[in-house]
Amino acid sequence: MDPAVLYNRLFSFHELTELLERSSTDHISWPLVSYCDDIWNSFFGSDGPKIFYSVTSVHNYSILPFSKLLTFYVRDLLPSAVIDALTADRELYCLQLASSEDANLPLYANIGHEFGHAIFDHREAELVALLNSKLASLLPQLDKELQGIDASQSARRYRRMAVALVNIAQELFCDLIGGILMGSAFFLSLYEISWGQNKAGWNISLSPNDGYIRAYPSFHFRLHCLKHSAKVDEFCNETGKELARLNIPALKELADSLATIPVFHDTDGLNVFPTSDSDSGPIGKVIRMYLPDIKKALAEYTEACDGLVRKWYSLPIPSSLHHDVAELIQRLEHKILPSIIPDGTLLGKQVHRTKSCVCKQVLSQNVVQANDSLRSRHPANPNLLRQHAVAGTRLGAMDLARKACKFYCNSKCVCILSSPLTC
Amino acid sequence: MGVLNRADIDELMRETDYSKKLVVTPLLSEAQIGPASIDIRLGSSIIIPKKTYVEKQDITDPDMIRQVEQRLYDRRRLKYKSKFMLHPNQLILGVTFEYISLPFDVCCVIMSRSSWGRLGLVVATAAFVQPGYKGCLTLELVNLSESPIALYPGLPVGQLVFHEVTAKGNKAFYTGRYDCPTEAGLPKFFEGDADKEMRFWGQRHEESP
Repeated sequence: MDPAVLYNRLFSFHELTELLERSSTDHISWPLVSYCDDIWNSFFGSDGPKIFYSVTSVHNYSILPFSKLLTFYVRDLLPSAVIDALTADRELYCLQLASSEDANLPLYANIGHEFGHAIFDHREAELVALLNSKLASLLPQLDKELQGIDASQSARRYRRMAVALVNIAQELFCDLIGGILMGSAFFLSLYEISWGQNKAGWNISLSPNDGYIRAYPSFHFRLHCLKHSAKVDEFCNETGKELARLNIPALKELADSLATIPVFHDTDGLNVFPTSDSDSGPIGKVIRMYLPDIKKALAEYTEACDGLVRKWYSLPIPSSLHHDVAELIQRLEHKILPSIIPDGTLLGKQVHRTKSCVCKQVLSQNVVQANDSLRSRHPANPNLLRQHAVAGTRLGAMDLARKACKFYCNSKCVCILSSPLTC
Repeated sequence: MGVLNRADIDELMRETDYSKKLVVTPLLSEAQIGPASIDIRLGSSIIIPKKTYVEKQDITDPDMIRQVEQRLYDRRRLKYKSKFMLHPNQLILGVTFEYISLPFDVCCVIMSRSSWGRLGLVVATAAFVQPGYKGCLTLELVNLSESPIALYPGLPVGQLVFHEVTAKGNKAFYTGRYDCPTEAGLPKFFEGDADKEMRFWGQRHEESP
């Protein structure tokens, strides 16, 4: 191997090693990651790919196919037989998340989006086939336009444009997963994480290697699609009414605040870079020409994915639980874990028993995340200690809800419990 | 200062005004509520002090305390159904499974359950909980017996005894350094004005001939 290549490869190994080093730290929020483990297992089961967690200081959450990267980096360095033995049946992902002290931690609803990338990896063939079907009438037109610009370059440009469209579709698919898992919480998190960025811009970053092409739809379009799949309007309308009756000023604004997040995308623009790439101009021109039609097809694609995902995985959705959500938020308002819904009995209604365990954990998390995000956007709230307390109670809520769920689901606990198990 | 009995506890737990409500959650069974106490369970977060050759822990020295926190404690999460062996004379910090919220006119004391006490397990050395406190309670678990004790998360290891505080119109809310914790916590000596005094006494001790 060329020494320069080996030298660069060593940097890549160093990055992987750093991921591992940052995974064994007190700064990882263990209540959060154990909650994430439950979600991961519900998608992939105990025999599927595994995940570990690592801290990052970047203003973002991300997921990496760790074992695939490792295999890629050790190619030509180790015999194939050794590589195969190391990685056979050991698919491993790494989720990078904010540390417990990081101000980005409240944006953890974005983890749902990151899990979507892993699901897309595993269902790529089916999802790309679905995308093809939605773009079936558009693709020949796009090809024709590229040929009209320069027929000798059109095949390559078409291929690179297709990769970009798949990447864009993948992002929308991941948003769908985030919305299904985290509801209004992810809607808010996505909006918060877009801070400082051009929310009306679609971006395509070309690369000589198709595998490194990156493409993202605009935040406005993403939020527009997400608003439906995350049932944000239902949250605003129904839960908003319940919150209004609690007579807590900050909560009264919660639903209105969600409703005012901009999702208008008609004025979106497209950036294709680097401009030094001779394909960026033609690809940009063609996509801009057909952007409204592409958006329509992508919206249909997202909706179709919604049905597919619910067919593949049993993911219960919280619905018609607006009173419960308001009660949970009220508890959080008083710095009490939102794990019980008062029902007149001494024990109350355990949140996790209201429907299914996973559903109720998601509900708690939705509630607390929505409340916390509202606080961060409310300029009149100077009570930082309260925010810190909210952060602690929020993570504790998930942890305790999960623990209580495990107790109730264990048949050996029946003898100490007076009421029948429903989980 | 009266101890609250079951009826009082019941009434406070059913209170709808959250500022006056007693919360112990999650309560897995009504059987945890006794005639004048509530049983509490061991949570899964523990902190284990490491074996060390450090000469001393001087709590009047903030730099030292910070180093001790970073180097000499191991934080772990126990899985349910897994056991942790607490060896003779070993101290660990645990946490209650339950999260509590005390009204401003109620305080509580953490006490060992007598069966565990007879086994040699002490669950709390700093047992008093101020009125208005919210959070899970850190337990100082010490094995005073001659043989190791197996601890499992979820086991009822202690009980809370509640006392009425005569507020006389002065709502003294808890404003201490441990606010809404949900995991076992390390000691926090240098937060708040009272700790400036500690530093003062420590310095005076070094300056004296």
